[in-house]
Amino acid sequence: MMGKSSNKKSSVSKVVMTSLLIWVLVGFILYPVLRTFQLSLVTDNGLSLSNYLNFFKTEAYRLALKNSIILGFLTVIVCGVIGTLLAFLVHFFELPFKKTLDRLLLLPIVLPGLIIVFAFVQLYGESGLVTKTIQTILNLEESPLRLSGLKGILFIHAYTQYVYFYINVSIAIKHIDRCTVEAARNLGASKWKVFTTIILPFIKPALIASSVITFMTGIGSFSAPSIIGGSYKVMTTQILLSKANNYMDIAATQVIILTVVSLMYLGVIRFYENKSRFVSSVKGVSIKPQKIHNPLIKLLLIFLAFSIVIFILLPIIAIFILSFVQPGTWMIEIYPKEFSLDNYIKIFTKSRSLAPFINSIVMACLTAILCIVVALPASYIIVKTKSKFKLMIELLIMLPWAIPSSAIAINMINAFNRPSIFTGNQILVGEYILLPLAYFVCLLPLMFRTTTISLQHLNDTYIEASKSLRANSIQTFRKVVLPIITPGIMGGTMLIVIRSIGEYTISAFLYTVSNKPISIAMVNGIFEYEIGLSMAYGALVVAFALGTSIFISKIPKF
Amino acid sequence: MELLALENIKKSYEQKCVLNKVNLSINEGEFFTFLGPSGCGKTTLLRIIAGFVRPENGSVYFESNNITLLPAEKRNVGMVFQNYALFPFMNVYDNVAYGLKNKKEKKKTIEQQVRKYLNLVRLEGYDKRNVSELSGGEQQRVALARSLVMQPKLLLLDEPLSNLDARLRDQMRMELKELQRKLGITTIFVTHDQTEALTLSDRIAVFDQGVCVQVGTPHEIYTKPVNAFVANFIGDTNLYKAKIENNKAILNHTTTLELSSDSTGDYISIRPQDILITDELRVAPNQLNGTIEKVAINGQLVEYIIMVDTLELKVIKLNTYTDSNDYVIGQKVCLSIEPKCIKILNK
Repeated sequence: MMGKSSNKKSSVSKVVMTSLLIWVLVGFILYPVLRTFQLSLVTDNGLSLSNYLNFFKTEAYRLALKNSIILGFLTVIVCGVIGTLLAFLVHFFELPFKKTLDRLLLLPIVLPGLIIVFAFVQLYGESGLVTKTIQTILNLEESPLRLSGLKGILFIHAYTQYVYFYINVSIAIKHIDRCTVEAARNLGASKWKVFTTIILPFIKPALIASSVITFMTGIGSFSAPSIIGGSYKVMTTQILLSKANNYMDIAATQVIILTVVSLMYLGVIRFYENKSRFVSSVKGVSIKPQKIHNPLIKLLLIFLAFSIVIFILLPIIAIFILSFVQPGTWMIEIYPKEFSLDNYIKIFTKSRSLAPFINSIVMACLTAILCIVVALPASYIIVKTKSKFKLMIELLIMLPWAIPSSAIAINMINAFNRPSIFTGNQILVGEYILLPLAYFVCLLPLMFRTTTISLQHLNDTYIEASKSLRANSIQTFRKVVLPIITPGIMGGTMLIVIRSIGEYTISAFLYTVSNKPISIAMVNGIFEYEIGLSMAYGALVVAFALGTSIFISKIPKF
Repeated sequence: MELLALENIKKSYEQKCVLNKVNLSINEGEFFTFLGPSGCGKTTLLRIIAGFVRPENGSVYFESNNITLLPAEKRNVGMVFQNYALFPFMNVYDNVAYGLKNKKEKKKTIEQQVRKYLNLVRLEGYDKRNVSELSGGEQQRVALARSLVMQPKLLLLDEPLSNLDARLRDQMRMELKELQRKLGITTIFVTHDQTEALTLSDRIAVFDQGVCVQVGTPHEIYTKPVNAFVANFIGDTNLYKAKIENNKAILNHTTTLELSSDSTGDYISIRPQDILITDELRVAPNQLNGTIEKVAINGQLVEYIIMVDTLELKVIKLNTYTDSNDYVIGQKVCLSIEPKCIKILNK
């Protein structure tokens, strides 16, 4: 990349790199999408739209589509309200333990969704710990909480997905220019007016951007609907059903429709986003947290903050405690009474129980390696060269971001259930590698963003400065380039590992006996009434995720 | 007539006192400047007048009403911020119209007023422009129009020229003064730049570490500084610690200067332009022998650093054709200082 080699040599290597990259991106991202699209159009009577007509004629499918869209919008609203309020609570007002609270509020982003679902079932389900406790205290006949259907899914989404709003709005609040607030007051604006005409426009882009990602995860959500959705059928669960019944053409049609919904939302929002975007021209002074003078309100806010902390930590604590429950006990009692290390001993001594754990770690590492190998050169081309293929590469690499995970899984099946030139004429369906490949496609946009930001930090003048101080290319790379780009890339890689290690949606579609991951083992454990064992798996993943994210936060950044 | 009075203003942040017992009175129509190095409390004082900061002690009177506790949005005081604080998501028109909309003016009045003030700051036809597309000078003018359109009784300017490049700064300085004269609006100007303060102001208040050390016209401040800090901060000067005895200032064991009057103090200040370079010693008091140490040409002026034994003197001469006897480094020269040019000061 930085070779001192002659121009000709470097341009040859650039062409080779670009071609290889485009080959990979087309083969594993675009081609699978097109295959699914093709499959949805091919029927017994040749090319036709009959699959789509059939979809819209079938009541159950229409309902699932409607449910998915409703779920998407409601997720945006619920998470938007919660995330924005929390961001204001932590960053707009003066509050004790602000930093700790901020850290805790970011926690759900590293916890795999499936584990949260199970933890919630154990806590708030019909016979959950919290439900039973409330029932006992209030002496109720029926259980007061029912974690199922749309409400149940939304409850879980609220926990797992407010983070996007929280992060983006927090950043936006920190970027509000204090002087503009003062200027508005100087021009006679009341507090309410300042909020609606100054503060809201400042955070609007953050709200819009968060709504996109939240909507996409909302309509693509699979763990919560499949486990507690009950009669509330959504597209993702329908797709799995079609696949299980081997109606691949119906699955393909459903995948295309779900993808189109996702892209349409993205398109509408992008249009709107362009209208509300602004450039802050001068360096502002960030706002000071507002002091709360009323002691009653202050107490109330502190109480609120404290409840939030408990609510966030409870599922994690529950997982750890339940992972020690002695197998075969805790059948009819409200609270488990016998604890032991048996679940962990089982995982680490029985090869059948250990295999999923090993599989997940190996596949997560494979995914991370694939992501770096593809994302780094792609970012390099985007940031540091004037290649004609920049736009094409960026579009291809970001495409999976707009496609729900379940759709990616189906696309992978459709593309690689027969020999293709991209796989050296191999059939990948049923092979070990297909699952990490699908993880890779799904997480590539995340890695690409990280590497792009890291390379953007790598100002060319550093390299020039190093060279002018008589360092050769290798020394420059080792002493200047690596220290600058490594922290970001390491952080990104760890995040990829965390995300793939507890992944459930893609796994449910693509796992085979040879690569059964930990998430599937957890689900199986639950259905075989080995709750303790499931929770032990969950605890291991959570411990790993927490350890890793603490490690990420400790990486020094430049 | 007095428009604004500050009485005994005190403010500290985290036990550090940033303003201490500040008393000031500002008259209607005046261009008044708060001058001082950064961190001297001048911006805090401005923000107290605007109503963004509440003083711990003391009161602010505006048109004889105590407004110390009045919220910022209820004061008829305009402010232009150092970074202009234009609303980035509004165009030029909406920025200028913002205050009038808060006042709930009629749409037609708003339009008329906005046009009038955009014309006044020479930005006609810029209404629909996005503020981020404007140059620094243009943004500055939008900020000015946005404040002026409210027709405030008092205009506060917080280092408004500091974000402009040198040439634009000179131009905007002239425009600002012209506009102030035309509108007759009472203006408080905050700056750390003594040239700005001297050229623009009717009166200047000099601040040092939260205390207002001197108030006066630019001429008074320059010619009669009350202490060593003011003498050194406003304009260049040669400032020396000295022992004052019998109409003489003893600088060190070799150099003693005669003074015109005998007042007490521990410092003497001599402006560089008051020291004359001559070819031979004259029959007059305060004749010194020195060696040229450094020469710097700064356009219309030539600046010399001259060593008289161990004493370093800065001397400034006009860089003219007729008097172009340039001295070179190492050259021996004679110096002459009139006793009345030597000011005796306290710390």
